[in-house]
Parts: sequence; C-alpha cells; structure tokens
Amino acid sequence: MNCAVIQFAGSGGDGDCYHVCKNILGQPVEYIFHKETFAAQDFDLIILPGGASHGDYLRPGALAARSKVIKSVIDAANAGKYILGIGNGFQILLEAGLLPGTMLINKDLKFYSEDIFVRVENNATPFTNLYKNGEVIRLTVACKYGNYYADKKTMEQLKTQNKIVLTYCDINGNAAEASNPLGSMENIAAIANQEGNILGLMPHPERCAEEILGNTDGIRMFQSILQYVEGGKIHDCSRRS
Amino acid sequence: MFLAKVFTFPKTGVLDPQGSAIKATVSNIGFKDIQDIQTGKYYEVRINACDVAKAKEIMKELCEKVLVNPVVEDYKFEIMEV
Repeated sequence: MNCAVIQFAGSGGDGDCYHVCKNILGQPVEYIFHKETFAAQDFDLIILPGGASHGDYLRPGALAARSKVIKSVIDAANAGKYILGIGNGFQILLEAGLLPGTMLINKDLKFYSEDIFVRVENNATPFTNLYKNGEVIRLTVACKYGNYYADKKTMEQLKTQNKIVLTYCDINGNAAEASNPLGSMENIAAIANQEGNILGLMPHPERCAEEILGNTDGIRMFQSILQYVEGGKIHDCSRRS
Repeated sequence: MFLAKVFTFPKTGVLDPQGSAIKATVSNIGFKDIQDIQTGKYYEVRINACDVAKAKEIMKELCEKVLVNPVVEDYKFEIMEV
C-alpha cells in the first residue's frame, strides 16, 4: 500500500502518521508538501494529518483546503483512492467540500486534549472493517474546533445512508452528554462520504497505535485500510452505497 | 482603488458559543439591558477594479469562495472608493 502524508504549514500529526505507515504497518510512505501536486495513481492512501495548519487562520482548515495540493487530493478521491483526514485533516476535508458539514468551536470554548471513548457505528467501511459494530474503543482528541455541525437535511442524509462511522460515548457505549464534551451534533466523531472512500475523524488513531503508547485501539483503522488495499478491494466510486 | 468592509457572522439559529459566553459575563457584571451578543469577523479588503460594480462582483466571489463558510455563516459588505 503506497501511502502519502500531506504536510501543510503547521501540520503537527504528520510525523506520527508517517511513523505508523512506515514502521508499524511496514508500508512505503512519502511526505507531500502543500505547494506540490501528485498523481492519483501513485498512492493508495492519502492522509491529511492533524495540527493547526496555517495557524488555523480564517477558519480551521480553510487555508489548507485552498492550497495547491488539494486539487490532487480531489483527483485521488475521484479516482477511488482512500483519503483519511484526522483532526485538522477532517476540518480540511470539510472546508474542501469533500465531506459535508463544518466544525464549530467546542461548546464550552475549551481546547480538549484527553482520551475519549467512541463507538463504532459502521464497520462496513474501508477504514473500520477490523472493528466490530457497536464496539467501544479508546482514542484521544486534541482540538478546539471539534463541534461537528450540519444542517438538518445533511444530517438526515448522513443517518439514512449510514455515513456516521464513529460517535462519542461513555465506557459502556452510551451516548451520554458528558461523553461528548466538544458538543458535536449526534455525538459525531467520524463521518464518511457517500462513496465511502473518504473518512474524516476528530480523534487521533495514529496516537493510539502501539503498545509503548499504552493504547493500540487506533492501529486497526490503518490495518483495515491495508487489508482493503492489499485484498484488492478497489473502491468503486460509480456505485453509491 | 476600492475599499470593502466585510462582516461575517453566524447564521440565525447556529450556535455562537463565544457570543453566549460574552453575554453571560456582561450580564454577571451588571449590564442588565444587553439582550444578546453575536460575534463575527471584520475584514478590510482593497480592490483594484475599474468601477464599483466590478468591485462588488469580485467581493461577492471572494466572500463565497474564501472568507465565508456558507454552512454556518452569513456576510455583508460595504464598498467605498479610496
């Protein structure tokens, strides 16, 4: 599986994502700078990492979403390649229009950097097929703008098309208000696009991907994608699931 | 040269946690007549355009493509020759 990690000015999670692809998954990986372009056929997985790209100026992800490399990311998405946006990478996907909705400032205006629990709502995706539906996993969030918002129509579509992939919950899997400190609508932690080859998630699976960090719940997300790609399951974007 | 003064602000019905926090604080310190506070952003943009109509057209495109997040924000601007 050929992986690319996009580097924006101010990206913070790029090194972690690179490390996971190279040293944990054992896959070839390259950094791509935001002023560059790339050919869709060169990569299977493109990661937009976390970190306050471009200083979060204008709106989180807004300037990154208008940088040169995004045209290549859109081409790759249209070619059925897998796009994973983590934290600020999720915000970039929203600003670029690759996923619907937006992020507001957390409901109590605080920056949250802590472990949280999320429930797997849909494991029939390239990103979550090694999890069980309803499984509760522990990941970590680090964000100030993680309060997912979408209009009524978009929210209905996400629900009816089963595109809500992860939701914040308590340790038992209940969607209690206290387990959603960011204030995200419907406790949303991750959504996929209609075609299913783009995932945006606010928590950081790459920071929960090896024993030495005390948590390996995140590694299965990367392994899921690897299994999908190596299994030859080429994503068919013409078929809307 | 034209100068545009642009305001962006949350759409009606969209949560504005900063506005709510400021409102709560000003109520606490005794501003009893303040009904509501909404936050927003202000931009000044200088435009090279042949006339005001062209400047407006450029500004509309700039707002819709970059300055405004149409999911949650509305905007307004005024233009003057400088």
